[in-house]
Formats: sequence, C-alpha cells, structure tokens
Amino acid sequence: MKEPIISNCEKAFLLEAISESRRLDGRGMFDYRDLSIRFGKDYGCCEVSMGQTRVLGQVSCEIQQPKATRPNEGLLLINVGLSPMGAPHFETGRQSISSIQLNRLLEKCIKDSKCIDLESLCIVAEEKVWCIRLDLNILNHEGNLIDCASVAALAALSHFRRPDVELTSEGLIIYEAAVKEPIPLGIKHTPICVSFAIFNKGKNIVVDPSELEERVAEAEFTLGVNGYKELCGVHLSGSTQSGPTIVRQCANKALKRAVSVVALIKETLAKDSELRGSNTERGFVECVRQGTITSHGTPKICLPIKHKLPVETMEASHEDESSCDEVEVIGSGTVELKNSSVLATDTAEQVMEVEAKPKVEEISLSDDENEVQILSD
Amino acid sequence: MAGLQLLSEYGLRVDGRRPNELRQIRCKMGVFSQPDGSAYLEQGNTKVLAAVYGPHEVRLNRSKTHHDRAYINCQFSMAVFSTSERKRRPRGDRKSQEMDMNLNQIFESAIRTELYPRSRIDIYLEVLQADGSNFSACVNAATLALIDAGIPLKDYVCSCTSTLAPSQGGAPPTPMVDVNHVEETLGGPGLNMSTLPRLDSVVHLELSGTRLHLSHIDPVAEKASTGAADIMAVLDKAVRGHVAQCLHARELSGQGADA
Repeated sequence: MKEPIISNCEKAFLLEAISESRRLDGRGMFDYRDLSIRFGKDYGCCEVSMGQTRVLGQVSCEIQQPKATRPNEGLLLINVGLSPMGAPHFETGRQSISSIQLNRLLEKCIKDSKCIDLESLCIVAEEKVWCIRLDLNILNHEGNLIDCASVAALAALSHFRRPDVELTSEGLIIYEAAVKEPIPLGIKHTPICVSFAIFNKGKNIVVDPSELEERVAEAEFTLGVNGYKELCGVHLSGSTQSGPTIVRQCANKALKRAVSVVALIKETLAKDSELRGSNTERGFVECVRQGTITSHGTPKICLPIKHKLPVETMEASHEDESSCDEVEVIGSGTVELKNSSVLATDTAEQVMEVEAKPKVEEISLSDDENEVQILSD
Repeated sequence: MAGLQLLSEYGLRVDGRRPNELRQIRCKMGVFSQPDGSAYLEQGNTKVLAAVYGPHEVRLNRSKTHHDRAYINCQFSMAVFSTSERKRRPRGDRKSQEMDMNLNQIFESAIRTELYPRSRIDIYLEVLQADGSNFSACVNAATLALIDAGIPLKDYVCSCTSTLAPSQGGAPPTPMVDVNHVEETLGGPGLNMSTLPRLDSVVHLELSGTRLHLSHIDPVAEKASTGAADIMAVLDKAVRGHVAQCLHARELSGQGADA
C-alpha cells in the first residue's frame, strides 16, 4: 500500500500552527510525549511506548564462530522489523527507505560506537563466541520511530542476561538459569537517539515529532548522544538553511533528554529486578489487564484555545451547531466555545477536536466522552 | 602501524598535508557519450565516475511516479577492485543501500524536481579507487554530471568529510579536513557534510566512526563547511572551463551553427 497523501490544507495548517509555536496535539515545541518502558517475563524483552508509537525489543543469544577479522570479539546483530502492523504502508520485504535508515542509524549508534563490550563475549578465541541478536519490532507508528527504537534497544540490552558458561576439559558447559545466575552484558556507555523536525527554513525546531509533523517537515535531524556528552551518531535528511549551527542548538537539548531517558531506564530496571526478587507477577500480564498495552485512547488532535484571535464569522458555520450553544469561528481551523456554563467551570483553556478544514462546516465530535459532554451542555 | 600519528609534531598529516588543506581535485565532464551527463572526479587518490540519465519517462515502475515532481534514483557502487582487498559485494548490501538512500535525499533537495513532473532522473556512481571520503567524492562527481546533463540545480552540492586528530602533548585536538583512507580507518570520528554553499544550506550531515565529544562538534562542522565551500570554487572553475572549451570547439567546427 502506498503512504496516504497529505492534503495541502493539512500541510498548510500544520505549518501555520508551527510558525506560531503551536503543535497539533497541544504539546509545547520542546515537550516530549510520555515515555513508558515495560519489561517482559524473559530477560531482554521490553516494550517502549512514546505516546502512541510502540516498539517491542527482544534480545537473544547463541554461540557461533566469530568473524575472521575479529577473532576475539563477540557478535552483535541489530535488526529492526517494519511489519504492516505498525503502519499500512510498511512492507514485510525489508527494502524500504525508512527501514534501512532505522537499521543503519541504530547500528551506528549502538554497534559502531562500541556501546556493548564485545570482547567479554568471547569464549574460545577464533572458535566460539556469543552472538547477541537484538530484534526490534515496530508495533505502532505515530512518529519518531528512531527515538523509540533506540530506547527499546538500550533497555532490552541492559535488561538481558546471558547464560553462564564454563570451559572444561570435556567441552563447553552452558548452565541453565536455575543452576547458575545468568550474567548481564557489559554496557560501556548509554547512547540514545533524539530526533528533531525542522520547519520554516530552520526557524522552528520541534522535538519528538508526530507522524504528520515528520512528513511535513523540511528536514529531520537525529542525534545519538550518550551520558558522557559524546555524539554517537548524527543524521540530517532534507534541507535546512541554518547551516552548521543547527548541531549545537539541538545538541544541548538532546543531551538533557538522553540523561533523563537513561535515568528512567535505570529506574525501571531497578523496579523490575525488585519484582523478580520478590517473586510477584511481572511482565506484560499487568499491562494487558489494565489495558495499557493494547489500547489506544488519546484523542488525535487537540487545539488548546488560549487567547482570542480577531473574530471573523463564517457563513455556513452557525447552521450545524445546534448541539452547541454559541460557537464563534475565529479564523480558519480554530473555534472558541462561548458557552458560559462551561467557562464557569474549571477549564482556563477549552480543548476541542476540530477537523483541519479551511472552512469550518461541521465540528466533529470525538469519541472521548468528556468532549461530548462539554459540547452538549 | 604502531606509532603512526595522524598529526606529526610539525603539524603535518600522514600524506604531508596541513590540517586545513584539501587534496588535489581533478575533474573532467562529458566523459561518456551514452548518458545525458557524465563526469569523472579525482580527490587525491579517490577516483569516482558519475553518469546521469534523465529526465526521462518512468517506464517500469509506474507506482514510483510523482504527479508534481521528478523521481530521483541514485545507485552507489564500489568497483570490486577499488579497495585493498577485493570487495565481494559491489552494491546491494546494507551500507550501499544506505548510501543510495542518502544520495537520493541529497539530490531531491538540490535538484529542481518541480520542473519535471512524472519523470525520472537516474544517477549512477562508481568508485574506481577508494582512498577515503568516498561518499563526498561521489556527491561532488554527481553534481558535475548533473550540470553536464543540463539538469537545473538550486546550487552546487559540495560535500566534505572532516575528522578530529587526537590531542597531542596537551594541545587541543585539531580538526582536519578531507580525510583519506588511513585517517578514516585509524579511528576517530568522521563528520560528512553536504551543503549548498551559496545558499548556506546543509542538505546532509552524518557522523560515522567513533564518538565525538559535543564540545568538539563546532570546530569540526565549521571545517567541513569551509571545506565544502572551497570544493565549490574548484568545481565552479572546472565547469566554466568545460563550457568555454565546448563553445570553442563548436565555433571551430562550424561557424557557431546551432543544431
């Protein structure tokens, strides 16, 4: 399937909003979506979600012959799988541009920057080494796959434990987890990718872009940073007129984000090891019960109306709004609710779902119950 | 190669250059007769051939046609004899696919694709000898080939790779421009920047090799950017020379009769 085409008015609407420093989902220009990390029952399995973008990571290991050029080092293979489950335009034949980009960027960030200590994975030089395989699956694509995938990769690698081995005169003994405690991987530094979308000739930079923002942006800039303020990977695609200064501008923000993400990973790891120690239920079971792992509940476009813009009433607007008391259309695509009863209650800003059309002919009601209540008051 | 320093105590690099010197660039346009545009570029010992076909009709894969702009297809290939050990897969492996993708993105930003809707432009690159900065040389060669084909560009696309020599004896690490093979493989980060120099616009930025500390990013990026601007001067001179030569040849052949 082809990627759905974005209409010109959607593009124009988004660009106009960004130039006024507003984003379609109500976030600030430098606000990130909620990041949550959940670990599964096995070591090395984790699911990361940034807003609605979800990535599942799984680490596995086996014993193999090392590469001829590096006989003392273990092997690390990273594979990102884009299946049509994530987005309808993904194809299973792993040839598309985005899949190559994701794979290469993660490889650069994690493999080429030597984040995992590969020499400790050697069992017998030139004969047997551990081959660590990291598989990431994109479960849902709502923008910013690179960030989410890099967090999933790092979390899965930090969580993983490989079996303990012993080389005896008879041969190699691989101990089961019950017999000998499995060993975690040696992680030398913690690289995280942070993405920025650039609009309006480099004047507006947005952090953690959503899918629509990614497609409309004139350039997308990804930085791989670690906790030691080192850059592990840089990738700029598209064309931006801000020149070399863009790197410095984004680098500091990326660093702060990387530090907070790594802290979150460590915290979640600590909680998980506590749970394992106390022998309670762990893994995705709780998440499935609460409906957090499979549900999709947040509204897509929320426009917070914070201040009045010059009023221009449109002709066709008033007829369809019999369900609302008084709605005045202000400019294209923004609506202010003048219902006094609602104003009297808590909201300093009214959040409504509006379809992005230049002429507001009807207001679509969201599935969210709260919104319906406000409109029907 | 123990004890091989990237920057000697006299401030000379392994091939005798200073940190801010580019390698010698030699280029020739119109080397082939079949493609619409072709170019041969040498950057030191790195030798690249570029051929451009287009704009032409999209024949095989109609789904790739864009209704409002041209579809750009780049293919990067390294000849099997280009590296010191015979290269087993000249194209089609992941790294080459990534290069293809990067080239696509660069030229989509640089070519005025809106002038050729529903058409296709193919750019084929072949590295004959790989001695560092292969990708940069390819971008520069492709620019020349596109100019030879007469395809309108927003500006010259110039690319340069810079690195950082490790600090010696207390001195801060020095950024070096236009890396060669030894500097690339001996470790050290390689920042590859492709720009439209006159528009002061960056079309592609990539960091490969080892990690680079944030405090060193500015000098390295600055070096790559000035390197690209210097390369533009060289390419511009070559293009003007080539055009003058063509005009001269035409005048000589027949009273300037336009075909």
